[in-house]
Amino acid sequence: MPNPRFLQTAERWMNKDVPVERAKQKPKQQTQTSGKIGFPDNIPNSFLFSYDGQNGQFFQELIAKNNGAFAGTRAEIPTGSSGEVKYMHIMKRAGLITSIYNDSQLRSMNLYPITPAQSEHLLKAGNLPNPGDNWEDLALVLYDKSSEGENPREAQALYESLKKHKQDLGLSNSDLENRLIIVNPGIEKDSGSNYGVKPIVLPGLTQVYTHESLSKVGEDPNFDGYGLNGGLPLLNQLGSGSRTLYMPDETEDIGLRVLFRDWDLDLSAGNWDLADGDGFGRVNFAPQARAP
Amino acid sequence: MAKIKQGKLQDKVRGIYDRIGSDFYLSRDDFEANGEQFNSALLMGSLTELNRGNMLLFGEYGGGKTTSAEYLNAVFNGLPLDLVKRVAIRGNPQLTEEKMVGRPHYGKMHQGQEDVVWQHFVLVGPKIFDEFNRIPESNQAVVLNGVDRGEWNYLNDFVATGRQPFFATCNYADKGNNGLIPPILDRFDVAVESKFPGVANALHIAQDYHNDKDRVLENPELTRKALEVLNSGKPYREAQVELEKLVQEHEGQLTSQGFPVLSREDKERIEQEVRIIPFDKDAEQYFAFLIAEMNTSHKYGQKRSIDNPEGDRQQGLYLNAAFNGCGSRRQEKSLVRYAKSLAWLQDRDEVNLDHVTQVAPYVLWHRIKWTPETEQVFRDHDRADPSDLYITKTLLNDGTSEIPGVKKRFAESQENYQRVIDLAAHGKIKESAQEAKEFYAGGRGHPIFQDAVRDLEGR
Repeated sequence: MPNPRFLQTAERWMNKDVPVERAKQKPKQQTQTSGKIGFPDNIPNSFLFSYDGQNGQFFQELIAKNNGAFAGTRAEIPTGSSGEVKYMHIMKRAGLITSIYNDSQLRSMNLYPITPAQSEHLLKAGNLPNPGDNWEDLALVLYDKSSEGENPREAQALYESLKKHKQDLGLSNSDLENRLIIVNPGIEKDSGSNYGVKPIVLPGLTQVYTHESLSKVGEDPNFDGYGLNGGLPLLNQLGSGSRTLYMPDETEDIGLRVLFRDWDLDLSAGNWDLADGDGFGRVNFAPQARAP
Repeated sequence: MAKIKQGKLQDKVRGIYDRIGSDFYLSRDDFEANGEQFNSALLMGSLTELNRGNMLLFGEYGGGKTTSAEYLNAVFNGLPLDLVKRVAIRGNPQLTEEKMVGRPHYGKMHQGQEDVVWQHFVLVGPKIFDEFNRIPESNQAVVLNGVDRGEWNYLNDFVATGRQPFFATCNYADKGNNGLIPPILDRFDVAVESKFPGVANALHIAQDYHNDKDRVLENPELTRKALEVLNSGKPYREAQVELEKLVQEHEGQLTSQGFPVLSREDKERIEQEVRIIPFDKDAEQYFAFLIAEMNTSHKYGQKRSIDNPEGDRQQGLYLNAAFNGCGSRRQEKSLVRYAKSLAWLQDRDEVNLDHVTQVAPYVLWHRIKWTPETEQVFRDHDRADPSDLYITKTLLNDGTSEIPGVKKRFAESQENYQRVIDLAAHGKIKESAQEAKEFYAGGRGHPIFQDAVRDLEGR
């Protein structure tokens, strides 16, 4: 029999309406981290987002909280009990990042998806788990917010969020008009989007920067070595080499794209599908430096 | 402090607070509630007077601990300052129950009769115990048992004084003092630090090297009369009636010098008004989250002083893993009384979240023993408070990026908790318990959900 004092208290605190089903719940109000998380480029190792293993409990909680917040959208993650989490793409990745950002319990574990630069450093050191068997969406690339470009609704939403947080991000008005790489984007529900969510900035967590190689649109240059600066090769690395940097074919009206590494270890900054999840998409996690 | 409506009792209390703060206990504001600034020692002292609580004052030698308590007891109770000083006890290791509470009537004892002579400390209501941690723990318990219950026992006699404001001062640890054990610390409703008042105030205080400013609060003639009453051997009630007349006489003199005074009726009315102020929902739910974090343990069923709090660390960084020991019903009552008293002073209809979150650190910091791991996290932080108070303030509010605070977790989980509450209140007990289990997530969710499950399932 329930404790009558609990029920009395509940009656005192109750809302008049019976709660709706959880899937219809409005998303939780966002809370911000109190300081910026450090993401050093060079980290010793990473591990794949999995249903079990050493961090399985953390990942299970993360999936549950992600799905609680983004049920019914393309960011929802299939549940499971063992093995690597497949079908990952940038919207799901952003959902995970958002869920960690909004939950102090998850934040306290200090585990985040790796950045593009970390991915390249790990690749160089031979410490990226099975890179030849999977690909990984690493960041968003906002080329422009043209209505003729890819993902115009999401591009505009992201642009507005960047504008709103430009001070936090250290961006000037002119920076906002440049081509930008957005690492650790967040998402929020958007019923008008084909994805059910739209990208946003998470102050203190999202990183935004320009990169000289984004000028190489319309080309697919080969390159040598690794993208150790910001996750992409520098201009002087381009020309020849065993790896390829795939860029959008278009040179204008490009819109919002995805930066990813594929199983040939090539990089692409041109994928237009923000929820391109086949069975090979993975997410690498790593402990990150705590806020100062 | 902001101005409030004229004619209210709050006005009188604020008048006393302001007068002590401006003329007698010079200090800096270090406490904020609902946008108003206060000095924590003076504010908590005033609230201690209003709800007849027990307050512990920490600080350095000559830092104003005893002085602040003396002013508060004198002005809030209409007692001559010299009488207040006269009946205060100065702690030393040789103090016995006979010197503090009562002693046999030696004359009657020689005649084969048993009678008790009560010490002035017992007979005068508001009490100050200076350097409390210089007396052994057993004697600390004797004093606090009397203060707590408002009943003093000696031999086969007893005096019922009712609850009275009680201030105990403690220097920081040195060779000459004893520690205060947790059960003793738990008897104190709040603790504050009497802080350095700043150079300008210190210069001003130094000029008054003979405490001339105190003359206005003193009354040697009335003090002498009061001591005659106290030494008369009259029954307690009879002596109190005579003391009350002296108090009224002194209050008249204070009033003529522009001091606001609180009559006995005023104090009774304040107590009634404080008692009926309700908590608003946010304040009460935060309070519930705090209680849950301080008393529950996923690993051990409930939090106990004999269990290692590290055992709960795997469940997440909740407060229960950050300190040794557990919460107590005394501290919860203290928080309610002081938060209500502050809400009353601010002339609010309800106790709000700010009242609770700002008062709670002062209710808890002396009672909580943080683990070495928790202390390590904060060791190098810049701070304005003693370490334990700083940690308590931080962890009861938003916390740090490494250790989130109770208020942060409350903000994150309140919506889910409200769902559990709503389902239960609408009769959906099973659904409510099911959701509480899901939110608890096998120990990784907030402990309040575990507690809700137990209440909903009646176990």
